[in-house]
Amino acid sequence: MGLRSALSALALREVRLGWGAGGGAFLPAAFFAGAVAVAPFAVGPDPARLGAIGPGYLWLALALATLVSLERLFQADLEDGTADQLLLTGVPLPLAVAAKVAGQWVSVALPLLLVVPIAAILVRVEPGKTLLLAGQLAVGSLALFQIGAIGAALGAGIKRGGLLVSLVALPLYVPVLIFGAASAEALMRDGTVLSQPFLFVCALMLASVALAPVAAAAALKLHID
Amino acid sequence: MRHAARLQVDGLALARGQRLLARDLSFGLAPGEALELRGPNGTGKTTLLRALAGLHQPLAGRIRLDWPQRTDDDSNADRLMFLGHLDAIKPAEPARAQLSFWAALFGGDASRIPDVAGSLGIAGQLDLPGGVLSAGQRRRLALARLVLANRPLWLLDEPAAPLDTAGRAMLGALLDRHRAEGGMVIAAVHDTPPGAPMQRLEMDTWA
Repeated sequence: MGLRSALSALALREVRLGWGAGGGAFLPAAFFAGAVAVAPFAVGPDPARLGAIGPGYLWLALALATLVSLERLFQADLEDGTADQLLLTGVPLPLAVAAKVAGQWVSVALPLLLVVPIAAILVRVEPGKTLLLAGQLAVGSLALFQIGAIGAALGAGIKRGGLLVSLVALPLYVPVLIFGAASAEALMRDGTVLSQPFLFVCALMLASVALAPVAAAAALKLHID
Repeated sequence: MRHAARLQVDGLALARGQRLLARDLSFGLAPGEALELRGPNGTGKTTLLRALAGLHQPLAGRIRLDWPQRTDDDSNADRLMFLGHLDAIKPAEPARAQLSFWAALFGGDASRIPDVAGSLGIAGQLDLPGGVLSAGQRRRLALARLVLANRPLWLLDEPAAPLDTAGRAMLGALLDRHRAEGGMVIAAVHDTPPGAPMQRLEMDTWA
């Protein structure tokens, strides 16, 4: 059996289902846009103040938007028997989970990142820096998805477990948020993309890609009996 | 392809929650043999099937599939298929795409999809999304996945339940052909399963 073709089939299906009817992959992007659009109403339209908090606020909105998509990541598969079948395919579960999360990331994060340049203008980020900021958010979003998958796997067996998933995942998001907001600030201050905080975000992303699927797979197995 | 795997179960004990469902359960199956699990509701037929599939951890006992080239790295899961009450069908995805997805995952041959679907009478439904299929059509689609995967041991939980008369006949033909190719079948049933007669295992109540 071709492990590579099995993994790509898993990832591609995740994208297909996400973008298909009822897949809901665009909801986080809409949530992100909405969350950013209301920021000027909450903190006032003063450009200087918005510009000061804007980049950090985008990171916060990104973190909350990823949570929106997490609840269903594994729950649907557990409910309809797909998870049972996956275990019998011979594909190692951590790899299958990694492929699923990668597919989910493509289907959810891609539309979300397309919204970033517009959202950035709403919170007064300099137009010349929006694409660089979107790039940083892209790296951070992969880390957030991987980490969030652990919470999603833990809460997958619980009906309406979305809030629980958020409660589990949010504390784990903190390091990415700290370094993400700091890297956005460095980008705004003097235009450095590969600042030290952003290198930390990259490191967190790589570590989460390597470790989170193992943890998520172990958590998922708890629900299968 | 001829299958050559055989199954040996020794001293199996099963429990659900605090309830002992079976103990000292031992049986074996050789290529081409089939077993029907009988017993009232709640006697552990599904739990036994899930344990055989490796999806449920038995209290005690040993389940071993053996085939000629088996190495220590191989697991039972590589040689069996499980079809339970949950049919793993996604409502939004066309049937054909679901079958080719599972063919890729189980290492099956996706070019056989039209033939297999034809033999199960769902060739006309291949382009419909899973959500509009009836219960019987869903079961036929799940059976098509089973055939495509081409594995020796089939674990079936009430396979004929939602099927009509024609569907039962197709299932019978499917089971007979699988056994003729050296495959094994274990099915939890309440009525005599379609196809050639099977050995019978009565699940006792321990409650």
